[in-house]
Amino acid sequence: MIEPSLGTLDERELARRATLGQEAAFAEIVRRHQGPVYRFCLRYLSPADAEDSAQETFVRAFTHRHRIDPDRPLLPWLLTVARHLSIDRLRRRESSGANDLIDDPDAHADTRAGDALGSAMTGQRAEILRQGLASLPEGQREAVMLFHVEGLAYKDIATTLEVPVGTVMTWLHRARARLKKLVESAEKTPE
Amino acid sequence: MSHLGDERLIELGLDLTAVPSAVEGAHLADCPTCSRALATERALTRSLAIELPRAEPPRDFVAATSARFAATRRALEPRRTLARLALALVASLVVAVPSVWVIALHAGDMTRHFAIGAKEITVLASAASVVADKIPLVPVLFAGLTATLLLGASIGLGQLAEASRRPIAVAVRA
Repeated sequence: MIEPSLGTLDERELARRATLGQEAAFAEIVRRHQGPVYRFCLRYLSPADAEDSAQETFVRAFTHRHRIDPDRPLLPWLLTVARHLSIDRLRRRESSGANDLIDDPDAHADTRAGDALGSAMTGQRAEILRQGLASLPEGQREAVMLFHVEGLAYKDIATTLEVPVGTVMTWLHRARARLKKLVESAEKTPE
Repeated sequence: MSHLGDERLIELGLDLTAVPSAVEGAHLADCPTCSRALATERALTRSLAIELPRAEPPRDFVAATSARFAATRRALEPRRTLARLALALVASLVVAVPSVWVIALHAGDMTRHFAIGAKEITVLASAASVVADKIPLVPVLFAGLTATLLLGASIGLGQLAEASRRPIAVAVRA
């Protein structure tokens, strides 16, 4: 059971308590960051695997809590762990031939990305954005999702994806230019 | 001023709360090209923020993860206990083995050191007995403690005396 006061704690204090091994603090961290971590795993994996990978991310964070730096935001670190776990899982699956992602992982990643974005997107613009996003290279797509959906800052995206901040900015700008072009050309072309 | 650069337009377009500078604002008011470009950037930002749906984790995600914490903790506990025991054992061996080795190697020296030290400690022992006499309530305890201290000190002083090659008690008296 989460003690009521934990929900009001700032992240730094929460992280400090987590480093001391307080399970309630960890449960609160899970509650706060479950969405972004799950969605990030979903970028690579099926929903069932993404759920398992996201849970494993928090368990790893719990067992390696001494690595938590209360002075830094937790989410980028969690997303980095999630990314490594998801990619490892994907590779294991590919090498064991357990799924059909061997031939063209990117193409399937695009399909998964499309699935992850969900069927709830309606309207022409939403559909164009969904397709445009799915067609972007991996880095650009990640940058767009982390910036626009999860609201991460450039430097936190850089930490998560383990690339320089300049690369994140380039990816984001290129992705936006491409998406803007797609939307504009679609709006100019009557159906 | 000239048109706003692409980088600046994106910068202003990414942050919907960003306010252009006074000069930029004046330009945007007069330049349909720049104002349209900025409007497009901001519309894209709004679309991406609003229209991309957020897949949510299952409702029992927190509970399931907490259960995994507990299971992980239970699984790790015996390993930690074993690790602590192993560490204690290693630490004991690190202390005990060299000690036994030193004692075995220098048993003769230690006996000699004890004899030298015992001789040198006579003065201190006399003083201790005087103090013990003046504390009648705890003479036995005090004597036992003194004997223990004297035993340890005699070996140590003997080593020091031999190392310095002069009688310590004489030096103290002098």
